[in-house]
Amino acid sequence: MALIIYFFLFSPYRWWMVINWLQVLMNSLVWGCMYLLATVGLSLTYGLSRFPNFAHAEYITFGAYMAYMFFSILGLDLYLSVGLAVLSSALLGGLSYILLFKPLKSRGASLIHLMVASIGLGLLIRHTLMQVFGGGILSFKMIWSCIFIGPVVTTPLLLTAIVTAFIVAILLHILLMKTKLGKAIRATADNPELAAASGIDMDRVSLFTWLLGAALAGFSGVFLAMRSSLVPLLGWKVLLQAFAITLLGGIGSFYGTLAASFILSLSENLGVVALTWLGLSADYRSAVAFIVLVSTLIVKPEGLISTVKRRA
Amino acid sequence: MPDPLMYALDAVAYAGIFGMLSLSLNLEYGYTNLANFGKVAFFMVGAYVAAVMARMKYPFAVYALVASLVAGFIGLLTSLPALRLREDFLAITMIALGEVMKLIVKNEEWLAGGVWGLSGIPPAVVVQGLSFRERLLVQIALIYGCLVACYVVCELIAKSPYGRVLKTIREDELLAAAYGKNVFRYKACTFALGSAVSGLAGALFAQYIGTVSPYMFEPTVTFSVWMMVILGGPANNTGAVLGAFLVEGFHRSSRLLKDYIGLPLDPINLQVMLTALLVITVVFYRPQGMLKERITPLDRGLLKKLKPMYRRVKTWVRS
Amino acid sequence: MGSILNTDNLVKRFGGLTAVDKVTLNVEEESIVGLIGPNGSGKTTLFNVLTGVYRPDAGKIFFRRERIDGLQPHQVYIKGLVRTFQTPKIIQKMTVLDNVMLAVRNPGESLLAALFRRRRWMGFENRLRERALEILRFLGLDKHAYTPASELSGGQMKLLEIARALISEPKMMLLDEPTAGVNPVLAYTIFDRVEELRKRFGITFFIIEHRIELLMKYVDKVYVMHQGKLIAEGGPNDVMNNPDVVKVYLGSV
Repeated sequence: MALIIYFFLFSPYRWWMVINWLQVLMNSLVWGCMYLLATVGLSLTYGLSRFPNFAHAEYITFGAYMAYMFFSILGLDLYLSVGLAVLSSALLGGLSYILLFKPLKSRGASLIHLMVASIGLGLLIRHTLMQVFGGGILSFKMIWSCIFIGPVVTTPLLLTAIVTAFIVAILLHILLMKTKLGKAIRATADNPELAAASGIDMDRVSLFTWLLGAALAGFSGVFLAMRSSLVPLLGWKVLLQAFAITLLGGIGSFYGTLAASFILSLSENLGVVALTWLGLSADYRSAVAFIVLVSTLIVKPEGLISTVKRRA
Repeated sequence: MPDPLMYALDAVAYAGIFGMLSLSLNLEYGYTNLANFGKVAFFMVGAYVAAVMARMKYPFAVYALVASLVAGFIGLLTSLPALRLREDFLAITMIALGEVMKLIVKNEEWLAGGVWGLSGIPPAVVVQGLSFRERLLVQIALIYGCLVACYVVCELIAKSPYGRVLKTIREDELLAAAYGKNVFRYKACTFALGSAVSGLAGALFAQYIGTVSPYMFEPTVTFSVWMMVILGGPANNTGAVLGAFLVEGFHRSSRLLKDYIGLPLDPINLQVMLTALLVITVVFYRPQGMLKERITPLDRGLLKKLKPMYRRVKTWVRS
Repeated sequence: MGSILNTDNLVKRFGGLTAVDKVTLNVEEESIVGLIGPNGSGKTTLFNVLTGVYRPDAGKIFFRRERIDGLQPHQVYIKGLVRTFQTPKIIQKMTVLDNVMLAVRNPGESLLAALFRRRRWMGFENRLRERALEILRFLGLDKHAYTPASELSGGQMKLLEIARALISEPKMMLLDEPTAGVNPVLAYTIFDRVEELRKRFGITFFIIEHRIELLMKYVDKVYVMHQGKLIAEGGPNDVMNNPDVVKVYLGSV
């Protein structure tokens, strides 16, 4: 151990000079924004409906494919296509809640049954998409010009993603803190029985959360697909990160998710630096999420901000 | 479609291997309410350990044992953080583990052959001068020997005081703890055993197929195993094996459908879509599965049934 | 007779709520002690703290002069302190007999023994079954021994809980509302059995009960709990005439 630290600090190669630390920070910021959009819905629905929805990954993929369909196949305007894609994701989320999860819950399905059903739903959506669009790699065929800000390289798409995520975060803050609906969401996540007793329309609150969560997931899917390419496993590939963020942030907590998104993306990007230095494959970056997940369970299983209060 | 009989025998062999996975999940989920959504990870670990060792010319008994020990150990280690918490935490950890394991296998070419996998794994039993069909029968005998052994182990557990503790934990952890059971230890022990059985199934799979590659171990495998248990009937070992046969038969027939009827659908997509729909339907309308859990006192269990049979066989052998 | 269970300034908080507030109590050996108080006064939480379900935030618990605070529930059980639950925890998918037998630590409960050393626990299991049947007979449940537990009535489930607590030969039993939802006749039977068990086996009882008139006929001593605090203790008559207790009960009506 001491040897490693020694090498780390006094290596003649001064490897840390070569790395563009500002770029690492920039990448972390971009990924943090993507993760935030992708995860908020998962965390909120998990907190509200009390089960992890594994089909959430497929809302991300679905949004991306819908954007592809409207934009590249039907040839609609870019902004219109993205808007329609987000709407159709929201619709998918709402439908899956109304048609599947709500009736299952009212039949008294166990937690494990709900999880199994959500995995089934995810596979159903993914393979339906594969059937319609094919299993191959699709591309939006957009070329982004590079923007140089000092030593940092970025593209208009990524800047848009950052701006969007910030706007969404501010809007969510206003929604959750200032509006009646937002207060109802927080109250329900805190204590469902009490919320129902105090006259909150649980159905409406839940449905709204599912719509919102799936819409944001679809939004993140569009960015993820435009950044590189569109594959059926697009959403599944960030599901591990999404769950790590959800648990780290505290299930159902918006501010926890906000913080955890950036913590995870920063540790991933630092992880990639460390991996290159150790001569390991950069593919192992998702193992960072796994490590974060497991350490959360060991150290602080209720997450950074716990919403679920322990009662007598 | 080369030879219908070979196709059928292949399906029977697959059903045997998956029957073992199904039994192990039944032990974890059916009896103990542990949501192992990473079954494929332990299956894969078993298969890769077996593949590496078989290529180094170790005998089957040795690498099967090592494969199950390694899988069991990994299961124990990775489940520990989540076992004290609610079921969903274990589910998330395990689904994540499946992805991480695949990542390791894909990236460590020196050990696991990277994305290309490992091929040229010799079969466990080599008898000179057998036809292809006869070799398949030998494989089936081996696989079903292991399946029966697993079935007996699972039944013995289910009909023992140990199984009674597992059921108590499944229904009410607080009750189990208040009556002197170390819930955490029982869960860890059961999870390790289930993972070890999956590892054994992986070893059988590797030597049966002859090659392993990361693409054989997608999360859909886990889902199929879940479907077997849920369809067959949780906490019923016969149901778990029955479920394995039904699901395997269902997979094969959906592929045949494609070959003979010429649907405009990709068979894999069709298969997964139908499987998913079926699971959702079962969870909705018959969550207890096809064969219900039997409520029998311990003393009227397996042994009562087996003993007269054993005596009959003994007198028959003597006469 | 010495004391079997005592606590020293026991505290348990949940967030801002103090559910158990500096509780100091003392239960004599071979006595029947009652614990009463309005709903939400922290009685069940106190039981949960005593049996290790919750770790106390402060204070000490002694059972037979041995510290037991901080132990896990299964470790507390091994010391001989056994409890029942307010809503009976019955395993629906087992027979009544198995529901009783699961309470005893059994050599067949280890994985290796379950698989390989079956002879060793089979004998134990047979003896245990005889004992379980005897206890079920004592409580009038022997006719139902081999039926699934889900077919029992509410009162019978209460009896089953007591049977399960009995089979491990405890030194002390904590009963959480043993007569809740039970018809009056059966309620008296349950308390008669408690009395008998104390006499025959010297078991100490600590009982939460809402049927105060019934409880007062059997107990040696009563504690009254209100908002997490013990507000009164003493013999049945002293407590019922205590002005604080009267106020709590009239105030809560």
